[in-house]
Amino acid sequence: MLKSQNFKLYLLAMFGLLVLLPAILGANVSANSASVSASATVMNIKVGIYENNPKIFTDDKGNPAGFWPDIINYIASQESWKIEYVHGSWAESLTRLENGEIDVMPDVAITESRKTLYAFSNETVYTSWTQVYTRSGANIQSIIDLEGKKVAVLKGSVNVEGSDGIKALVKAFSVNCTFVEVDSYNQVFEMVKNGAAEAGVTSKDFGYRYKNEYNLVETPIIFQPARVNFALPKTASLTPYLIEKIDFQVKKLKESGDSIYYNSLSKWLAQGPTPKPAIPRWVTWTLIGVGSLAITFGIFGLALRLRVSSKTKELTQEIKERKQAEEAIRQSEAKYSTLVEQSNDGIIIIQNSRLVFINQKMIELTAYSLKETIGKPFIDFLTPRYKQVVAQRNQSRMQGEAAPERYEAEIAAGNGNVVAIEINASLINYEGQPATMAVIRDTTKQKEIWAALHDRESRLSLIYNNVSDVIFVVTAEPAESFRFESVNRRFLEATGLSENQIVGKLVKDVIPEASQSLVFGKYREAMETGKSVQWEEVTEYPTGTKYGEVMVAPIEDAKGNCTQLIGTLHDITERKLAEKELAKYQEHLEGLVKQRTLELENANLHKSQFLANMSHELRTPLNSIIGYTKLMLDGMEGSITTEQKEDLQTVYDNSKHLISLINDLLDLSKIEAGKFEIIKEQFAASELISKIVHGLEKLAKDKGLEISYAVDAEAEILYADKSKTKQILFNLLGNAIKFTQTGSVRLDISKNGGEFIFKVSDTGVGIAPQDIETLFKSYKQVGPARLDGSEGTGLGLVISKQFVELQGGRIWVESTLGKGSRFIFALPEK
Amino acid sequence: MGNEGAGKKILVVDDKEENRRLLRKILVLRAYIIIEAVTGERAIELAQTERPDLILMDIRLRDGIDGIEATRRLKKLPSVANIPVVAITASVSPEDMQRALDTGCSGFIRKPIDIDEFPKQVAQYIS
Repeated sequence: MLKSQNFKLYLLAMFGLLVLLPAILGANVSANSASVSASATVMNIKVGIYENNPKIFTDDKGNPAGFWPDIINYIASQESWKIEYVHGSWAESLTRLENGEIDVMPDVAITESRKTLYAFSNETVYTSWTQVYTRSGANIQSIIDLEGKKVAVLKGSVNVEGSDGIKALVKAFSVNCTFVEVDSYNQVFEMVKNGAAEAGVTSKDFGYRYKNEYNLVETPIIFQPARVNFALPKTASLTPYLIEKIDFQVKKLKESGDSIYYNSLSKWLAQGPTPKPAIPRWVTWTLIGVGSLAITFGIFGLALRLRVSSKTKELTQEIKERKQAEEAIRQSEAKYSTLVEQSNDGIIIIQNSRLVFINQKMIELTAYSLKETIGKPFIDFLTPRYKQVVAQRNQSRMQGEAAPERYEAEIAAGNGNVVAIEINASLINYEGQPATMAVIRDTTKQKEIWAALHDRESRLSLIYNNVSDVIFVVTAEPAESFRFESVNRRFLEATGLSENQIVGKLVKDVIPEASQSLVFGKYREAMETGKSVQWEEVTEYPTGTKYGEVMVAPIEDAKGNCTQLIGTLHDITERKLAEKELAKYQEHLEGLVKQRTLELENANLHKSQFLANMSHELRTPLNSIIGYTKLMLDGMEGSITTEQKEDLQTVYDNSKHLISLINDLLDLSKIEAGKFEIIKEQFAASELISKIVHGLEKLAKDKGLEISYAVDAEAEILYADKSKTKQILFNLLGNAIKFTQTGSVRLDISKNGGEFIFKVSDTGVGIAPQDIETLFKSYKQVGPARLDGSEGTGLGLVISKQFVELQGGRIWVESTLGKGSRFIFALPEK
Repeated sequence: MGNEGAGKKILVVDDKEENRRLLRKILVLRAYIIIEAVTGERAIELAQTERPDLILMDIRLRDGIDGIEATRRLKKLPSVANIPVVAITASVSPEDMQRALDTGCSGFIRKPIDIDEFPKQVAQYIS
C-alpha cells in the first residue's frame, strides 16, 4: 500500500511537468524580433477589466489592481499610452471585445474557439491552470480519488466544459463523480467549506488567494494548462500595432529577471522569478519526449492503480511496468545524448564565458581536443576579427539587452584553418546557473558557393552589359502578353530609351506595331517548343532601314516551367547592305557575262560558219584541180609525155596536200569548239588496220618502205571510237612514212594493264629531245630535223593527241635522233 | 575501165559546168548515160521525163532552189520518189550531211571526189 502511494506521487509529479511544458514552450517559441519605435503622441487605449482577484480586480479605493494592471500600466508608460479601463463582468468584457468597444482585454486564455473570435498577442504573458481543492484532511490525491464524490464547479467555465476540462479528465480516467455547478468560484469554495461538495474546481490563482479564507487545501490535481494573453478585436485597425508593441514589451519584461513582470508575478500569483526566456529547443524536445513517455506510462500506471485498488496481488506487475518506464526514460535520455553528440552542427554551452560543454562536431570544427577546449574561453577559438564582436554580443546578452540570436563568426582552428561559422545562441539554465547554448554551423562551403555564385553573377553581369548585342529578358503573362523583365545597356543605347521606359513595360508598348505579330509569334513558338527561335527583323527608321538578327530562348525555372524568354538582337544592317550591294553587283556581272557569252557564241557561230564556207569554197576548186589532173595522169585525156606526167604528178600531190591541210584545220577548229562527240563501240582491229595499211601501201611502196603490222590476240576486239582511232593511226602512220627515207614502218597493237596499246615505229630521222615537248602543241612545227624535204602542218599530231585524250587515253613519243621514232598511244579498254 | 553503167541513166545536177563535165567524163567511160541539170527546178522536170536510175545532186546551187529542197520535192512526187538521190558536195559540215539524209538522200559523196573510188561509190546506189 505504501508503494502504491509513492507511485501515485510519481505520476502526479509527471503530470505537473506536463502542465509546465506549454509555459516553457510558449516562452521560447514566441521569441521575436522587436522593433523599437518611439511614440510621440499619447494614445488612448481602452482596456477591459473584470473582477478576478488577484489577477485583475478593483481595489478598495476603486482602482484597477492585480497582476494584469501592473503589466498594462507598465507597457502604457513605455509606449506613452493613456489607459482607460472599462469595467464589466467577464462575459460583458468579451462581448465588448468582440464588438470592438474595447481595444484590449487581458487575461484571456488562448483556445482554438477563441482564436476564431479574437486576435491574441503572441508573447505568452502568463500560464494559468486549474486545481482541485478540498477540505483539510480529506484524502484526495489523484483524479481516481474523485470516484463517487460531489465536485463543485463554475458553470460554463472552460475548465469544466473545455476539451481538457475536469469533465473530460474524469471521463478519460473512467472516474464517476457528480458535478455541482455554481455561478462563481466563491460559491464553489463555499460549497466545499460547508460540505455540500467534497471537492471544488477553481483557477489556481483564485485558489491561491482564497483557500485559507475558506479553510480549504489544494489537492495535487492540477490540469488544463492555458496560455493567457491579451486578446484584441480581430478586425480593429489598431490591433496589429498593439500586438507588436505588447509583444515587444512583454518579451523585454520576461527577459529581465528583476522586471515588474516577475515582481508582479511573485506579488500576486506566488510565482517566483524563474524566468525562462530561452530554453534551447533540444532541451524542450527532450522534456517533451520524457514527458510524453512519462504520461503514457503514467496512464498505463493509473489503469493499474484501478486494478490495484481491487487486486493488490498484481503489485509485482506494476513494479515491472515501472522499471520499463524508467528504462524507457533512460533510453530516451541516451537517445537525445546521442543526437547531440552526432549532430551535424557544433553544440556548445558557455558559462561565465568558458566552454562547459562541447559536442563531437564542434571538437572537429576547432581541430582541438576536448581537453584543449573545455574550460577555455570560447572566444579564444575565434579569429581575432571576431573575438571582439562575439565578446561584445555576449556581454550585451548577459545584460539583458536584445542581441541577435544568430550571427556569423570564424573559428581559428587548431590546424591553422579558418572555418566560417554561423552561431545560433540562446540563454539557458545549465546546472542551476545561466549559460549560453550555441548551435554552430560550418558555413565554409556555403560561403564558397556564395562567393562562386557572386563571382559568376558579376561576370555574367559584366558580359550582359558590355556585349555589342542587345540582350533582353521578357516575362510571359496571361492573355499572351509579354513584359520586359530586364534589358542590357546596349538595349538602352540602341533604342535611346531609359531603363524605366522599358523595364516593367509591356513589349507591345515598346516595339513598333508593325513588327509585333511576327515577334509575338516567334516568342510563342519558343515558349511552346521549348527551343530557341531565330529570325530576322527589318525596322524602318527615319534614318534608314535597320536589319537585326533576333534569337529568343526559353528560360526554364527550377520546376521546368517556362515563363521567361531571353533574347538577343544582333545588328546585321551593314552585312545586309553589303549583301544587297553584292547581289546587285553580281546581277550586273551576270548580265555582262550573259551578254559576253552571247557575243562569243555569235562570234563562234560566225567563225564556224566562216570555216564551213571557206572549206566549201576551197574544196570546190580543188575538186576540179585534183579531178582533171588525175584524168590526165590516168591518160584519159590522151597520151602525155613523161615530163608532162611528172609536172601533173606534182600538181596532183600538192593538191592532195592542200586538201589534207584544209581537213586538219577543220578538225582542229571543231576540237576547239568542242564539237566532237566520242562514240565508243566494239570492232575488229585487223579489219580497221588492213584498211589503213592498204590506203598507205602505195605511199610506202613509192618511197621503197616496208609497212607491216601485228595485232595481239588479246587486242583483236577493240573498244574505242572507230573513226577517231582510224584518223589517229592514219596520221601517225602517214607521218612515219613521210619522215622515213629508208627502212620500215610498223604498227603493233597489244593490251596491257587495262589499256589498248598502239605503237607506230619507224626507222626515220627521229626527233631531237628539245622538240618532243612541243610536238603535240598546236601550231608548232618541229624545227630543222624534220625539214629535210618532208612537209607537214604539225596539226596531225595535235589532232591525234586531242582524239586520244577525248577517249580518255594518253599519247607519247620515244625517239632517238637519226635512228627513228616510236609514237605510242594507250586507250582504256572500257 | 568497166562497162557496169551500160543501160543505166544518171542525172547529174550541178550549177558548174566544170563539175558536171568531170563527172560526165568519169562516168561515160563506164558506159553510163548522163543527163545534166543546172538548177533544182530543171532537175525535177528531167527526173520526171527521163526517169534516171540515179540522181547525183549538188547541194549548193547558185540559182533557184538548192539541192536539199530539190530532193525534198522529188521525194514528194510519187512517180520519181523511188529514184535514189546521192548528195554530192564540197561541204563537210555534219549538219549539211544530216539535212541531206533527212530529206531522203540515199548517200553522200564529198568533193573533191576521189576519181579511183568514185565509180565504185556510184555503182553501189544503182541496183
